[in-house]
This record gives sequence, structure tokens and C-alpha cells, in this order.
Amino acid sequence: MKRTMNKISQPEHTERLSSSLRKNMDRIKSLTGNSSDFITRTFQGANGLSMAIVYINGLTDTTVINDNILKPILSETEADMAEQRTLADSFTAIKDIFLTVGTTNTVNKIDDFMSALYNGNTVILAEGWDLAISASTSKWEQRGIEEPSSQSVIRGPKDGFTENINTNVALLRRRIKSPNLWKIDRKIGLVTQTDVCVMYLKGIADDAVVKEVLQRLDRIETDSILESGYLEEFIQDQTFTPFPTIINTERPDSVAASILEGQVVVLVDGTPFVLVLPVTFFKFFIASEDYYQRFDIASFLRILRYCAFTVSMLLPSLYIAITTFHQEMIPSTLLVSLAAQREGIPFPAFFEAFMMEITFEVLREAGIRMPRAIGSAISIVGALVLGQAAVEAGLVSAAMVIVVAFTAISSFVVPAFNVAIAARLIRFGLMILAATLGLFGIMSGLFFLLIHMTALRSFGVPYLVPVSPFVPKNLKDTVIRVPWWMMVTRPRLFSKKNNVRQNVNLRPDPSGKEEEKS
Amino acid sequence: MERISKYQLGAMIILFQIGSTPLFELGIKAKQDAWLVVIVSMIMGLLLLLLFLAIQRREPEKNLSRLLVHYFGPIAGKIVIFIYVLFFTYESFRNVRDLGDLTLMTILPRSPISLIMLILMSLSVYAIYKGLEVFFRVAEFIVTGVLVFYFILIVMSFISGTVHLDRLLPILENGIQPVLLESIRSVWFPFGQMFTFLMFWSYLNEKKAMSKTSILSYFISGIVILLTNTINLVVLGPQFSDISTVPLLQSVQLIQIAEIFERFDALVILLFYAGIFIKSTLWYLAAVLGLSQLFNTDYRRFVLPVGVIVYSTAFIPPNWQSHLELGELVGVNFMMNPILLGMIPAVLFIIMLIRGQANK
Repeated sequence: MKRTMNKISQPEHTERLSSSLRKNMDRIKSLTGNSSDFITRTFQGANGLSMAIVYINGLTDTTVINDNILKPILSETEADMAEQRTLADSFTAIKDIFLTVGTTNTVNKIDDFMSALYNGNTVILAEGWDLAISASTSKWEQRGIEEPSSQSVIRGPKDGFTENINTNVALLRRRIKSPNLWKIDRKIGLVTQTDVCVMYLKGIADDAVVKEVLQRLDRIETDSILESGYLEEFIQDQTFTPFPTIINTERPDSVAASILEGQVVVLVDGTPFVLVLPVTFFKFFIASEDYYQRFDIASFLRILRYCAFTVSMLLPSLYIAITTFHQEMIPSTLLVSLAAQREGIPFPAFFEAFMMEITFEVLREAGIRMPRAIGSAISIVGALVLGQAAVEAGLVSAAMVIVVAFTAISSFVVPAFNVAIAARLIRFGLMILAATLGLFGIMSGLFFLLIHMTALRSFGVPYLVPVSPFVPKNLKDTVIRVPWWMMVTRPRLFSKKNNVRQNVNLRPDPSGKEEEKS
Repeated sequence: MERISKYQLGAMIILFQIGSTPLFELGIKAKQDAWLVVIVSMIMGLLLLLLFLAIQRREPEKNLSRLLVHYFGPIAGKIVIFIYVLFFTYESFRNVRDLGDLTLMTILPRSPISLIMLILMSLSVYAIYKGLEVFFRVAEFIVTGVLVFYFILIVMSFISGTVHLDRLLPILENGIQPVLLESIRSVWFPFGQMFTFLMFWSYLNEKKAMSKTSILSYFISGIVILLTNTINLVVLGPQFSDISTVPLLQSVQLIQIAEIFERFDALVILLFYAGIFIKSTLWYLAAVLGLSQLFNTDYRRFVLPVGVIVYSTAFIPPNWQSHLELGELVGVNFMMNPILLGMIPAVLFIIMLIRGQANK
């Protein structure tokens, strides 16, 4: 059904331009249903050749069209034209001599013709040519480069990717000035024809991974790709898992760092979120800032993140398990105060925790979706009504509110949002286990997760590298980060060959000349 | 074929050997010399380990079932494999039941044992379905945590002042004989159980590291066992260690530091859980692999049948006491451990030697 629909709306790949200008123009009009943003202008060239230009309003720069296309063609002199006797001559003359735009291409199929238009090019046709010239005139309104809203840093570059794939590629090229930064283009989506490109550092990225990525991309046959999330679900290794096996980020600096480590990145037009793969679980806990701050502080913060992640996954279930099954584990004084708090609470700890967690999830979702103007209302409702009032009304204990609040705060510490969501989801499962079997249940749940995660792979790379399988050399940049001068090798498994990243003797030596590394 | 690395092998040996061992006070029949029993049986167990390694080194690519068929002939070999499969299944059931009773006695007194064992079995089934490599990597992931936790427990026992080293005195009160006798009895559990790795050494990717890794991790696990054993002696004293059901749990309960670090027993149960999970699953996996090589088919076919057998046999002992007695009966009175873990491997090795000579 869908396939037939596409065949109707899309021109055949083999359909060629006709040599009659009239026929071509009619074909274009019938294809686009006379849409008014397709601008066509027919005119007479200096030597009487009847010509036309076609472009899409809003995707093109009209000054360029006027000054660099129309003006040169229309101001050709008879003398210039006298040279050109044949049609082929006039074609090359216009393409190579008169047009004063950056790039020109020859187009001979309707298909290419249309895609040139969509890319903001202006296409020039003439009576008697069965070819057309596409001249680059693209310019459209777009968001400028701004600070990424989803991943901010204190120290480090403040630029973020935009919705334009070319800008994004440029941001990477500006950072990695090497001919080895290779880029492979694809168009995916039968209707949307979305530009997708794969970038990697030739000679450092694993060729097998690049090949695999391209294969998986080529397999996709869908009508639309509007965001990199679409692609992610098409190309990831394992669908039924809460854990992401591909990183998305809108920070060019962290993408550049990934490329330099031998990872492959996939850019999609129309979204600032770039996919980075293959990844391991521990990669999600690395913020780009870790490499800009001092190594000891960065290591501390990283450990803090792992702890926070564990807390955000486990704290409510531990609270339930301990208060329901293992009260003996609580120190006596604390136990007394907890018992006093819980005295008037009408619900079991599980129900209490579940209620509060759901409430918080609702608040959080509301916080993201609501109109900005009513933000303060939500925070009042959240803090006062659901927190303080619930405690005073005797619905939940104060300790429970603390647990939920701390859990919530902890889940924001993880730099990658998609892993933080995974923890949110897992939390509920663990809470049920804790309510039925206490610590034993939590432990069983964790074992299950561990087996599951051990079996996960991201483009052939085991998910829990470097802890299991144990790769001692990669540990230098996992839980802690060692000083830059010690990171002599790239992480193995991302780049199998060409492992050495820098000179061995880079330790700053105060007696000699000290060098700053960036 | 799936492959495991030397780190994975080492981690698995450590966890497998520790397994359920700290539940029991090894060599407590020798009273305050129990720790000596551990040392002596560890050394005697090393001899067994060297025998197993010698067998494997002669045929590094064949695992136990292939070796048995090759050297005992197809019929006798297959019968012996089948006996081993039964043995592995039996050992797996023992561990499953250990955990069930342990959990019931300590942290979940009102939960049904069937549910607890069912959860353990489901985890094992899941791990085995994911494959041998994944299971070994799970061990690799948790080994550091387990070792660190045991270390912390031991250090905390010292800090909290519950340790009385004088409880080890007098050393060798009744001479060396009781220690040696007790060592011969306890060499099979857990040290002789290194035999199981004859099923798994052939999966190692670096065969050169086999002996070194195995012996090193054997000693690491041995030291942990020795330390936990000794902690019980010095904290509880030999008499109380003897009558206590799970002595380590009692020793840990006595830890009290600054009114915050106390009552770790629930965490110790989780530690036991990790060890028992790994150990019972490895036995289970060995049984499944043995069966699959007996019938030459994919091992995943046997996961559920064997699982059902393990799970249902785990209900046979009516209580913990008779579970222990059954272990005593089978292991010691029927001489199962000496025969299966000592004699048959020795015979196998001799046959290998003779055949090796003949081929030359």
C-alpha cells in the first residue's frame, strides 16, 4: 500500500529531461501540483534561446539568482553568442563561463532535478537541451549556532549543533583539520529524502564498524526520517532493552572527541542530535567537561555520577526493602524516628513510594511540556502541595519525600538523558521486587540486569567494556580520568589499529620547558 | 565457538571456589586448628589442580566429555560422562537448596522457599541461554565487588575489636594427625571441585595463561576462604563456630563501628547469594554442556530439562539439617567426591600417558 503510494508521488528514477522546454516545464508543474513556492521564470537569452530558471522560494538567495545567474545570462552579447553555434556549446558556455556562482552541476534526470531544487539550487533549462544546469543558490532561515540546551558546561566550548547538516559537518571539520576525516553521504526516507552522513577518522575507526553502519543504513526503507531517533531505532543492535546502545549529543566537541577515539558518528539533517557509535555503558557517564577540568576533580565528579545513577535506580527500592523486611539494618535511633514518622501513614511503604514516584514523574513531564509562563505555578504545586501538604496531611512520611526528592535530583546528574530515563524505568521494576522479596528481590533484579547488560552489544562492542570483558588499558578513562599526558593509547575495541594517541614522555617537567596540552 | 579470556576464567575460578564455602566452617572437627586444615587442604587441593591442569595441557582443545570419549572409548566414555552430568546436576541442586534455606533462615523467614529457588533458577536459565561467554563475563563484572566486600568485612571485624587472636591457641593441641585427617576429608570441598573447569578450560583463548591464571586465582579464593574461616574462629571461638548454622553470619553480626556500621548480615547474605548464583549456574552449565556433547546437539535444548530436574530435586530434603546430612552421605559415605574428583581423573591421566607413549 505504502509502496504504491510512493510510486505515484515520486518520479521514476530513470525519467530523463526532455529536450523541449515546454514539456519540461509542464512536467515540473504537474509533479508539484502547481505549488506556488516553485518559482519558474522563462526568458529569452541574448541570442534568442528561450530559457527558464526554476527555484523554490524560501530555500534560495534571490540576490544571488539576480546578480549571478540572470544578469550574466541576460547580458551576454551577440558577439559572445556568435561563437556558439550548437546547443551543446551554449550549454557549456553558460555553465562554465557565464554563471558566477560557487558550484554548478549538470542534471539530466527529473529525479535529480527535483532534489537539486529541494537543496535550494536554482535550475536553468533551455529549449533544445536535454540537460539542465543546477547552480547553488541555497540560503534559508535557520537557527544560529547556540549553546546546547540539553548538555551545558561550565568550562568548554559553548557552540552546539544546529538543524542544518552542513553547519554541523562544518563544526566538526573546524575541529578536526585532517583529510582523514571521511564523510559518506546517504539519502534516507522515500518521501523526506533526508540527508544523512556518516563521518569517521579513516585509519583509526574500525572499518568493520563503518561497513556495518552503512549496511544497516542502506537496509532502511521508510518514508521519513525526521530526527536521528528514527535512525537510532532502525540501526541499534537490540530493541528490547531499556539501555541505549547509541549516544546522541548536540555538542560538537564531544562528537569530535569520539571521532578521534575511533568512533563513528551519524549526522542527520534537521536535528541537532548526532549519533555516536559504538558505545559502552560507561561512555554515557562521561561529560565532555571531564576533559577540560582538572583530572582529579573530573575523576571525583565521575565517581559521583556513578553513585548518583545507582541512587536514582536503587534508593526507593532500598527504602522499601529495608523498612518492610530488614528493619534490623537501620541503626536504632534512626529506626525510632522512622517508626514515629510512619506511625500515622495509612499505606504500606511500597504504595507510598510508588505514589510519590508517579507524582514526581508527572511533575517532571509537566515541567518539560508546559508553557514557560506557568512554570512557577508548577513548582509551587510540586513543592508545597505535593511535598509539604502531603506530609502534613499524613499521607506520606517526611522520609519518603526526602527519598523521592533525592532520587529525582540524582537522576539529573547523569550527563546522558537517555541513560537517566533507563534508570527511571528500572526503578519501578526494582520497587516491585523490593516490595515482594526485599533485598533478595533487589539483588535478583540487579543480577538480571547485569546478565542482560553483559549480553548487550553495540555494533559488536560488548556493552560493559572495559569492566567485562576486562580491558585494563581502557580503565584509565572509565571510572576515573587520568591526566592527559598519561592517555597514551586510544580505547581498544573502538580502534583496533593505530592505537597510540600521543608521545609517551609528555609528563610536564618543571625543570624543562612545560607544554600545555589542549 | 565461544571463547573466554584469562580474566574471565580467573574471575570465575575465584567466585566458584568462594561460592557457598563461607557458609560452612571447614575443618571445624579439628577445633581451633581449623585454619590449619584449610591451609593443608588447599595445598593438597593444589596437587589435584595440577593433575587436572596436566590433563588439560596434554589436550588443550578438548573438554572433559571429549577427553572421556577419546580415551575411555565411546561406550565407557559416554557412561562416565553421564555419571558426571548427574554429579554436576546434583551439585547444582545442592547450591540452589543452600541458597533457599539460607534466605529462609535469615532475611526472608516468611517467604516460600519455592519462590526463592525459582528466582535463582530463572536467573541461571537466563544466563545460560545468553551463552557461556556472557556468563563468564558476569563473573568478571562482579568479582572485584565480591572480593572488596569480603576484604571490608574482614577489616571491619578487626576494627570493631571482636577479634581475639588467642582463640587460635593452643596450636596443634592434639598433634598434627587430626589436622591431616580433617584435611583429607575437606580437600574435595571446595578445592577438589576445581575439577569442573575441565569442562571450561578448553574455551580459553590464551592457552598459555591457563595454568598461571588458574593457580593464581585458586590461591586468591583460597586466601579468602582461609580468612573467613579464621575470622569465625577468632571472633566466635571454635565451639560456637561448630554449633552455629552459618558462622560467618554470626561473626559479622558482632561488627559494630560508630553506631552506623553495624548489622551487615543482610549484606552478607547478598554476598553469599552472588557466590551461590555463580556456583550453581556453573554446575548447571557443566551438566548442560556435558549432555549436549553426549548427544552432540545444541546445548540450549537441555537447559530447561536440566533446570526442571535441578529445581524439583531441590525440594527433596525436608529441611536444612537433612540437606547437610544428604551431602555428607553422598560425598563421604558413598565416596562420590574421591571417586569422581580424584580417581577417575587420575585414571584418565594414566591412560593419556600410556596412549601418549604408545603413539610415540
